[in-house]
Amino acid sequence: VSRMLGMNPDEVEAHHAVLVGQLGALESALTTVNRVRLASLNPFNYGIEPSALILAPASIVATTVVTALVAGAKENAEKLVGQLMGQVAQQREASAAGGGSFVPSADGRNGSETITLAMLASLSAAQLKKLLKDDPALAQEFWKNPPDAAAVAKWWKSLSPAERDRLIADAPTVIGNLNGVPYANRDEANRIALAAAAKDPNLTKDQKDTITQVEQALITRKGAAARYLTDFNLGADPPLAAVAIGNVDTADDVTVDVPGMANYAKSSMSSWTDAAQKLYDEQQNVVDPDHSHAVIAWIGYDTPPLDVSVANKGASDSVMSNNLAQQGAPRLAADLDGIQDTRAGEGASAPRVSVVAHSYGTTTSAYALTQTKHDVNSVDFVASAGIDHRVIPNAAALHVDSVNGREQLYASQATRDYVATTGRVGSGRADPEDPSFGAITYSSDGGKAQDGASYAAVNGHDAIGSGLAVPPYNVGAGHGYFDKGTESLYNMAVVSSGQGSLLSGLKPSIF
Amino acid sequence: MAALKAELDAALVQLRAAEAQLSRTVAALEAAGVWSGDDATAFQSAWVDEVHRPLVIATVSLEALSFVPMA
Repeated sequence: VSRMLGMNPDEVEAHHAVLVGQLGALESALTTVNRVRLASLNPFNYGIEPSALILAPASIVATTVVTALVAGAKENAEKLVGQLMGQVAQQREASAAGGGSFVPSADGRNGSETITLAMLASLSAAQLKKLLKDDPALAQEFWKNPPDAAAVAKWWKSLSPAERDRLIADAPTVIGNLNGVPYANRDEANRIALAAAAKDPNLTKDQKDTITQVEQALITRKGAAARYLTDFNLGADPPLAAVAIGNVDTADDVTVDVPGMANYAKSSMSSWTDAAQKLYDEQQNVVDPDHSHAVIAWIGYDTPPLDVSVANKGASDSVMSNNLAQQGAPRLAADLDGIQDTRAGEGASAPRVSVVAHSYGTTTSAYALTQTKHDVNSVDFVASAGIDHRVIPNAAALHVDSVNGREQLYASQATRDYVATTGRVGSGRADPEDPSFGAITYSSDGGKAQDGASYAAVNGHDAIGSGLAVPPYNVGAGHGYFDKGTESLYNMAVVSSGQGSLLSGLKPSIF
Repeated sequence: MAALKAELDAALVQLRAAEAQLSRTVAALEAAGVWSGDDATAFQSAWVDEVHRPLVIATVSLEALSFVPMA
């Protein structure tokens, strides 16, 4: 009877024992790979000698996915073997109906040239969701050690629309922050992650506040350019995010705004996006209406707290310390390269890429601009909290274009901004306005543009003047670096649009 | 603790051997007289998709890992 039903139960059972034995071997290999991964992450805790080799950062990410693949395969194998033995039992009963149909799960698979990404893509929807739920650290590892954006762009282009949609839906916390993936897709993924997080009852206060801030930041003003959620990392401590005004996938000019101290996604995403909107409006409506623009309000790193006292200098998170700038720089560098690599991956012409950094954001950006693959077109340091001159002795150390032999590094500080000066003096960092640094410096103290228009002075350190306290520590309403009508905003728009010849109020130091 | 690279190499050998044995065993089920028919075909197909392929990708990925000196 069993021959007629297509199965020899005794022989199948004999093979079953072999299968089960090999599943144990999979478990053993899995344990070893996990141990190597953890030891590479925390070598001192695992007694690794200082001279020893550990996994490279990108390989650590890969091992995380490898373990997920092996664990998933083992789980699937156990399920299939279980179903197989169920059929054997039914065969033994020799029922006239046989063992019932064997129903495999319907999983999509694909391969790719980019190994880690291929592994992600190879997981089924259920496996992918489970992986990211069970191991939130995976999304953080992609954030901290992102794959090369050019490779990602090539991989993403190789996928079918259905495969891309599946990854956006099932792995939004990875795809949403993955440089090389077009920004419209990242926005879609990040909004999925945002919506899902908003329903999570187990969020911390910082996470809830971040969601509120991001939701406010994404509200597009009537008739204004669309906004995109280009980065959203709620699992970071503190949570991080970035919002673009204008289409980063198509804009002629893309500007990344890097904030200084006390700008957290949980408290400042909305206001930093407002500052970016002001820069966008100045670029698009005043300085350079003939080109399309996008400005990214980037809070992609942990900024120092609002404490410029020398007493706090010893704290690792102090604005006087370089720590947070150094920690934030790699992600900023990856995001800057991502703009150009993503565009190249789509076969489109490269945009102009500019950095506008404020306060401690200049410290962070300077480090990042020594780490990028691609030069940016211009850099503008306003109200600088100082540059680490041991790493960046002058403008030539930055990965920025030169025009007529002059690096396109610009710098400005309002005369009444004493906070920036305190930050530099307290930390010992260099002033990018120092003539020896090689920046092109311009005024933020008010004056007339070349077309005769008058602009107001900045009277303190803030990006946006609130008028909530006495200048110069805080700034009068309308007199922050990014406030409409200030000379600084006009000049930042000029610089970031590649219209440097229109600068107003050039300081004598450049002559 | 043994060198991490040696440990990982050993895990790779173990993983590759286990995958090969699993594939041989599952293939043997197809042999005449063991199991045949639509259910057997469905089992083989599911095994390839859900077990064999992820394990092959995992082993290929392990081979490509790189090591660096501790900073």
